[in-house]
Amino acid sequence: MGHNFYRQHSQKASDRDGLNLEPYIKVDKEKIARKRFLIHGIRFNLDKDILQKIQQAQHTGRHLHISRELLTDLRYYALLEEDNHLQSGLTFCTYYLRSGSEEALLRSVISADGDIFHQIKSDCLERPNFCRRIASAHYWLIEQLMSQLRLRTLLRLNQLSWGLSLLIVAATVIPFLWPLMAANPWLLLAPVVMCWLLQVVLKRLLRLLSPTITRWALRRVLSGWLSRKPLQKNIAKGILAWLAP
Amino acid sequence: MIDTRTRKGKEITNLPESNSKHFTPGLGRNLNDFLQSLGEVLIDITALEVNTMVVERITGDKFIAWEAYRDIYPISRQYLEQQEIHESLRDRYIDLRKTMELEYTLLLSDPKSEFYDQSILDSAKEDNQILTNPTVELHEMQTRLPDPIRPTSPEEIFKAQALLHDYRFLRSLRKLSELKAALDSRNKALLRKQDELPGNVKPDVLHKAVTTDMIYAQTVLQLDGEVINRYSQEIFDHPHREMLLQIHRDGVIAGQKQWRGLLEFIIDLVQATLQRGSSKPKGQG
Repeated sequence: MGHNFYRQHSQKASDRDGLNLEPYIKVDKEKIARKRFLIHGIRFNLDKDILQKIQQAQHTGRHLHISRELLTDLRYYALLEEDNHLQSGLTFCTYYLRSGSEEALLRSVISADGDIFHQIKSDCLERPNFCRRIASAHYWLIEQLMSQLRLRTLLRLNQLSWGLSLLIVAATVIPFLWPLMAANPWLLLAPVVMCWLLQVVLKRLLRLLSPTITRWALRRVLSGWLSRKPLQKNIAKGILAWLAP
Repeated sequence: MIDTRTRKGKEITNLPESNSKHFTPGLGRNLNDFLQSLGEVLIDITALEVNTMVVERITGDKFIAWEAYRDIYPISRQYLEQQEIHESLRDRYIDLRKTMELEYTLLLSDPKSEFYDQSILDSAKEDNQILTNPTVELHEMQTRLPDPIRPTSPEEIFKAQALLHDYRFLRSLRKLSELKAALDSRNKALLRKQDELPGNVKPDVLHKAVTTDMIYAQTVLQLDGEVINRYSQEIFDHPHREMLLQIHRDGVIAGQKQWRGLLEFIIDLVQATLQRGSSKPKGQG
């Protein structure tokens, strides 16, 4: 990354969010039956503009935004293949579009047991500057995808505990709302305090239970994925896309 | 060219101890087997190996286990001659076939494997040359792999199918298939160049003339911290040598991060799925 092709651009506020290249990252799926897909790899479709955007992101340390759907596909792809094979290698291919035609320039295969193959098209080497840029973009994209695979927190404790406590307090307080208002409007503060306290207690409780809940949810997801029934697979994908950020 | 025989081949005596088939209650058999296989991947890891190849064209070849198996199985000296494989590449093809045989023999001789066959280790030493003799010739040993081309019985087909469902075998097959694809492309390029060049060209001249479809650089980062760099002879004559080395270095750095992401994901997942509680150590099932 020593070369400096990058001109300093003013940093917009939106840059703190990730770089969204969703339309240019494609999961190479093959339909093998109704509702059943085989994932062959991930494909990056780059052109001059995208390449420049990626370079900027690399220089400013901006990360790649990955949608939940793509992330879920990627997690599924990283773990499984049709017929419950453990996926033996993840394939990433970079295509470059120039003057109307596109060609594959780089391909990487990464397997969990530690074998990595990077392939580069030979005529790409003849344009050294471009070659380094595209190779670096290709590596960066893969790196970004892989680093976001990791399941952070399955349960969003904050939202869950606030939600639950609001629900409980509302259910208990609403019937007495009018009498309370009539007696002393200041008493309405009590439910607010109650809600806050309950939320604190719930959060602790959930934190205590969260490994068990997470374990349960993950087992459901994995069993669904391993199941040969497409419906179960899709439900499991849905659960994971919904749960995992 | 760089020797890319799979590292796992060297670890005959180093079979993992801890992956005996135990069953964790509360998990379906599918899930249990799956987690077990993920665990096996982690145990098998000895190093990270990053290979940088230059190819004439990137092909979107899809890995289909049966196809790969069917294409590697028949490899022999005669077969390679029939297929018009350039003489200088034949040893490398033979190596692929031998590695595949070795992987299978390891499964047969592993008491923890579902393919375990007691008679393998009892049989005469000559039959097990693939395990003991690294220089054994392909035609000197007897193959044990199920024949996918002319199976003698339905059982043989089932056996091959079962083998292609074995995670460990599949991982190795995947790598072999990747190496074979590169060899196939290189073979085509060599033959083409041979036709172009006048007269009888020496193999080393020919290999220098063809600059594609080979692994130019390989870096092995071992878990004990040792780093091994291997370069093919041809890289020194390559017109874009510096570029290639730079790309390889970038690829190694990126490869480490990419692989770490994948590993962390798998480890987290296995842990979170098996864990009994946040503070307790991992349950023994």
